[in-house]
Amino acid sequence: MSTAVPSRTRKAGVGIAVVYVVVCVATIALTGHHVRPLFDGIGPAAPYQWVKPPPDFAAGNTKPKPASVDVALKPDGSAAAVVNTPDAQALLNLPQGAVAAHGADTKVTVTIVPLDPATLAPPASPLNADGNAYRITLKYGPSGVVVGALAKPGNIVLTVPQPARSVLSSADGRAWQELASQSIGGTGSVGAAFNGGGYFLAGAHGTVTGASSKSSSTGRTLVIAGVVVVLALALPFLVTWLRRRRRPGRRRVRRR
Amino acid sequence: MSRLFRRAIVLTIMLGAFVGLCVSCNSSASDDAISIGMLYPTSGSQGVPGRQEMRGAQLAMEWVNAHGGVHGRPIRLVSAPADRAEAVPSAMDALHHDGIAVAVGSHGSAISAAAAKAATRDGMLFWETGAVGETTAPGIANGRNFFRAAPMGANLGRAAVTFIRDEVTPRLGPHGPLRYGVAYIDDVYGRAVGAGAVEEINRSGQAFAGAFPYPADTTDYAALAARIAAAHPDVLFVSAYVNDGVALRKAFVAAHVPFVASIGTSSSYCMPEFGKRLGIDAVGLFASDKPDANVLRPAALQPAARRMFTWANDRYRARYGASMSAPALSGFSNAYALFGRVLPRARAITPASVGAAAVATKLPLGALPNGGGLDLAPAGAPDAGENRNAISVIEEWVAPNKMAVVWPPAFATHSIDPVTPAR
Repeated sequence: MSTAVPSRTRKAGVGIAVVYVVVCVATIALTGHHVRPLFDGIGPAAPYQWVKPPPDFAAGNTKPKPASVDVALKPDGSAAAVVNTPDAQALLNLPQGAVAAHGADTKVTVTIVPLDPATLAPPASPLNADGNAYRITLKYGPSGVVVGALAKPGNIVLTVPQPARSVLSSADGRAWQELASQSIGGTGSVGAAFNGGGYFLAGAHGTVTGASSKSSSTGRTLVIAGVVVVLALALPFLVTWLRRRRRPGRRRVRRR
Repeated sequence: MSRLFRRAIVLTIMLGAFVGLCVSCNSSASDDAISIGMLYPTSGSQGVPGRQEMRGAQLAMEWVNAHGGVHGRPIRLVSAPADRAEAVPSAMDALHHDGIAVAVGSHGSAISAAAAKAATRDGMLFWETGAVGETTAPGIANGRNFFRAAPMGANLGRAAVTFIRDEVTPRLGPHGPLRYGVAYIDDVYGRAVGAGAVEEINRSGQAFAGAFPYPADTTDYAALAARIAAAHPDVLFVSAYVNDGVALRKAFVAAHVPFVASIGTSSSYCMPEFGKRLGIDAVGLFASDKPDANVLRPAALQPAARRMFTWANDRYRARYGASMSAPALSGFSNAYALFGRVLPRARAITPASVGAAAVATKLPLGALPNGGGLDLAPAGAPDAGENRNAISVIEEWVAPNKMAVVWPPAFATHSIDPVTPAR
């Protein structure tokens, strides 16, 4: 799966991604606001590529592909790099020196694999999985040793099908931690600091895309109608109960 | 009936009323306002024109509310985020959950198609104010749960071919039969507009050089241009977005492809960005589109529509520093058609009643501030839910960075000047 020699297209894609991330990060750092650093109005967003699409978007879905890139490792650490999936839905920005030097190793292989979030633990309520989950691994080469915490944090940016609240991370996919996150370029992407490999997922409030909501005004009307019907049915029992309670009371009053 | 029994009945009624009141307290319909959902992209790749169209819809709400609302009830717009199609089902579910039965949107054809599907599933009514793309997928009840006040994409395509055939070619001087080619981006927007063009070419017996759909991720426009040129079209119809439209046009210019005429549609050829990026290379190109405030002739409007147009354009300029763009004017006019003309005729704010009122409301051309009217085809018609009186105009890039309406005559601000577009 390793891509030793990136194609011209990939180089161009990486170049654009680098510029995008640099502009995003710089804009965030300078303004501290949710911002839209790119020009709008260029056409619709590319359809989201789902590992397991919801029914509404199953037709025409393109399965997302993984990415694997070798990053040069020198005595002063890893080179600056941007690793993104071919659909650019998951993007990793690693600054120069993000991975510390490691013995005789000369490279770090960064791999991003899209996953169906249903195969992992669900996020804690009230969040729902928003789009694909991603398993990100970093390994030294040629030793194959897994990279631990980064020497310098990078950024992770996930494209999301619906507005996300945050990026979630997990070491093993069993319990999620919510990262301090920021919408990037509007509601279509969410980003957070990246401190090391693991599982990553965007979390959103609300129903999962494509799921039909059963709660509605009709539902409320039915609730009201149901309560009234239950009360009406309970009416004879209520009357009987009140009569039974009242009779002894009256007697007691009369006795006094 | 004993006194106890009467008391129990009263108690039951009071309890029922109390529960009903408590439950409805969460509802957005808890006051007198009519809540209408609003789905527009406000960020992302369609954020700028989406926001403009949304602002137009908001102005329509303000106008109607300032003129008595709907039988005294004000309209309140409830926004739901929909920057991309995948966000639409959740956004519509959220509106439905809040008891909202009718929603307006959406500017983008992919968003519109998803909204039409969600509205049908949730039993809502979605009123399209700007997007022109196809909504013919299974599971969409056009004419019941989906109405489009904006022109249908296929109509833009048909209008483009009709205009070239009837208005441009007679001005070209002696020539043989012209061959028509159709290039379109292969998505819900491109297919809808391209299909209308192909249909009109075939219907009117024109020579057809071929249809050239291309995927959204096309990068080699020189190859695409060469493939189209190899079919030797004299007239090229293009349904594209800005980036691909500009790239394809540059490829034709670089290859010196000799078109007699070329015409595109709303999401590229008519965009100011298209003219800015192409400069002289855009001059002579035509665009089939919705009108914007800069090219519209107010004199062509009915007096009431003219007053509304002036009011809205002045207010828009004061707030946002520019005249109403085509999306803004489309949002204003088409949302007004719903708020000001359809809702007052509806017996209740339910999809069925509003849908029936929509089909029954007939407005002639010039009755709406964008020059259009309203004549929605009923469910069951071949064009169910589409507005047969939607307005579209033909514009031409008459100078670098300058566009003018050249057709129809009622809205034309410039004569048709068929200069050969490719050099």
